[in-house]
Amino acid sequence: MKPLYNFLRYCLLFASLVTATACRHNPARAREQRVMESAAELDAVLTQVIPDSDRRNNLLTLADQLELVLKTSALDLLEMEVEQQNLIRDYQSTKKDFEDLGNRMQAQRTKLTNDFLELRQKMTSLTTDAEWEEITSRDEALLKIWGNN
Amino acid sequence: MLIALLLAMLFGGGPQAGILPDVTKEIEQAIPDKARQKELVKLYEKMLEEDQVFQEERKSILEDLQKVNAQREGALSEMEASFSTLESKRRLKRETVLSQLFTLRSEMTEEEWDAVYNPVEEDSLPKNRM
Repeated sequence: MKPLYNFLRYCLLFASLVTATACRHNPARAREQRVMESAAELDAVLTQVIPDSDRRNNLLTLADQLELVLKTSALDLLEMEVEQQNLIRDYQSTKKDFEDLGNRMQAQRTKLTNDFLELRQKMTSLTTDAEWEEITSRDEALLKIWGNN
Repeated sequence: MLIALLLAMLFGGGPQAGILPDVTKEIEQAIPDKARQKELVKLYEKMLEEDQVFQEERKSILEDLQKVNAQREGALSEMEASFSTLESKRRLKRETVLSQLFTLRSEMTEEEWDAVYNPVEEDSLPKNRM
């Protein structure tokens, strides 16, 4: 299973390089692309780590749901970030405009958090301690990069 | 991977977390009076300091959450608490920075504000066809 995983990783890396240029000036496309690549990598890890097909298929379905949740939220949040920048530029914008937008952004993040925690619970219930450790250990390196950006 | 991406998005230090495009240079260009320029840059830097404090807190919460996420069982309440703490700090930072942004704006005319936040880019100027 390891060679297959490595092959998939190289494919993803190549796809990232090809699309990076195209996405440079389109934040929505870039964010969507990042979600899709991360989803493909999670699928590859699940395929490698989970030995039996029933559990693996259930986990892959949950991973698809997580991807959908993330894709929708990523674009909604991006739209709100653009709205926020427009409010800053507008000399006439009011505190209420900012507060309303802030509340909408918070509601979106809360929804994303809740959806994530619910799906995470379902995923952990389908894995063993060792499998979960394996899955999350690969997240750690990425979080160090993404979390600091 | 997807879980890391989601956490990074919720905790992101990018545009979604901050409301502060860097406009120090624009202030220096748009405000000819040196004394006012200095005062406005000082106000702006206060906002940046506030944002920096939040970024440090954010990183610390994210590091804790990363460890909790690795636990398969019993992590839910700790994760909920981390998200809740982050959201409270984000709200607090946002209120402070907004208040500072409005103070900065009150010190500038609409023309000056436009020059700083909506600078006319050379590419967007109509070309002289003669």
